[in-house]
Amino acid sequence: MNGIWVALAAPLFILFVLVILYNGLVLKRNAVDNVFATTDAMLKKRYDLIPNLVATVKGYARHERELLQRVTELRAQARGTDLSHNEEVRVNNELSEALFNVLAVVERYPELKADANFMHLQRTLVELEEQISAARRAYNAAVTDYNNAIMTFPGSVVAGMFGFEQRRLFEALASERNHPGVSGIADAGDGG
Amino acid sequence: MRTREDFDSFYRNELRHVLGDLEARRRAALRHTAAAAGIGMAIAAGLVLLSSAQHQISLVIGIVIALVLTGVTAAATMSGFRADFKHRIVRKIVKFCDPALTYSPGRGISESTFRRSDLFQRTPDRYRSEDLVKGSIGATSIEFSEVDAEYETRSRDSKGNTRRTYHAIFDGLFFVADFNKHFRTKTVVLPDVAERSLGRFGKWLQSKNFARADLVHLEDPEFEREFVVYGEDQVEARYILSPALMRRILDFKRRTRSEVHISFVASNVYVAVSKSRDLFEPRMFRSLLDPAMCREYLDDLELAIGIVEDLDLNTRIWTKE
Repeated sequence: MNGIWVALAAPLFILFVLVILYNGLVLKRNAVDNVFATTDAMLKKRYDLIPNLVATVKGYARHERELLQRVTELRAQARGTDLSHNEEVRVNNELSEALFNVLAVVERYPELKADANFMHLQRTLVELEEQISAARRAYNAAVTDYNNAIMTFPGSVVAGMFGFEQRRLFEALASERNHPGVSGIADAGDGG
Repeated sequence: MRTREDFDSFYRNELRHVLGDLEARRRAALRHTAAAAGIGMAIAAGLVLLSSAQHQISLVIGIVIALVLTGVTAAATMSGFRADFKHRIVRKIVKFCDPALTYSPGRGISESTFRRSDLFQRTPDRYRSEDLVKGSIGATSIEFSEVDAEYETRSRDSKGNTRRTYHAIFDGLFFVADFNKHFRTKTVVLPDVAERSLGRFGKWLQSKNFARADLVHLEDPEFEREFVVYGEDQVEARYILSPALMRRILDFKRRTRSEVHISFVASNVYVAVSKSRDLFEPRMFRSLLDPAMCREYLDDLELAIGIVEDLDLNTRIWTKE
């Protein structure tokens, strides 16, 4: 009699465990997608800001045409729909760098630095950069959590059965490692 | 911040003569209290000697009289002394730290502010706060005070009497400032007791804490060892807790050498630093002429005012001005 119960209960128990593990992985994967969407939304906000910034800087800084041209081009590239995930990250990193260069050359144009519109744009941009960096960190935390779950037992078994794939981390930006940092921008902003 | 030398000369020129005056009052207050106690005991002894039969009752009456006499004298002499001390000494030290700050000994951080911080989830049954310091340091408006919040438990003894006991929720320095970034959601940084004592199992337990928002796992391992972070929004929590701010909070914690609770709610930052001793109170059984005492007040004040610099709250490069 007992043997029948065990024979019935064992598959049910295994099924139950599988469902729990599967749901856990789906939740973690959704968390990753969710944070990625947030990052995307912030990048879009930055794309919207750029034309205004370029127009304002152009009015004062006539010698920086090349730099502004590059920003405009990168923005157009970044908004393209045919980019792979890694390409998108790379273009956006370059865009970050170019934008920081724009804010750095402002030092040479005291009139621009004092322009109310520019000051507002600069603050918004610095804030967006901070938010994008926060979103990247959140994304990496979610990806690490998800990757750990699908690479360790017993999650790895379920992941193998249902085709959960590893996600890649955002790599630390060259610009975040090398650029003078937000404090450099602050000094530039407060200097006038 | 002023230097130690500045304070020493300020102490010599501004405080020492006032302290001499107050020291005389402290001694007088102690003398009066001792005299009252002596008289009380004499009355008690007299009652016991005079009454022949009912020793016990007269002894009880005598002791009650002695205690009441001592208590009333102590309260009357010391409260005036305390108020005077705060007005003449602590206020001056506050002004020395920053002339823009105001000091109100009788007021404190309100209970609603304390509860809004969401640092301590238990509702206080008894709440006291005093020694409010308020003002602006650069672009940042701040206020802080001593806060003592307690909750009550009731127990019944064998005779059926209810006994109330009070337990500390928080006792120490409570600081509120306007944070330098805009945010919408709530982020709470608490001392990481579970992970320090239970390791990975503690971390797992924290993620199951239903009384708090989601666990935010940050990338700084040292910060993670010391603190546990709960936030309503994973991205915004990281926007607030930038890598630089995490280092600053760690340094601040190391310097205070006590438990530090921090929360970010409705554009404000709340910092609670536990303290075992009373802040800004004169010591009745210690000479006021000891310069170390005033330096202790200065240290406590500078710890609180220094939070603005420690957490870099005056850097206003984001959209919030």
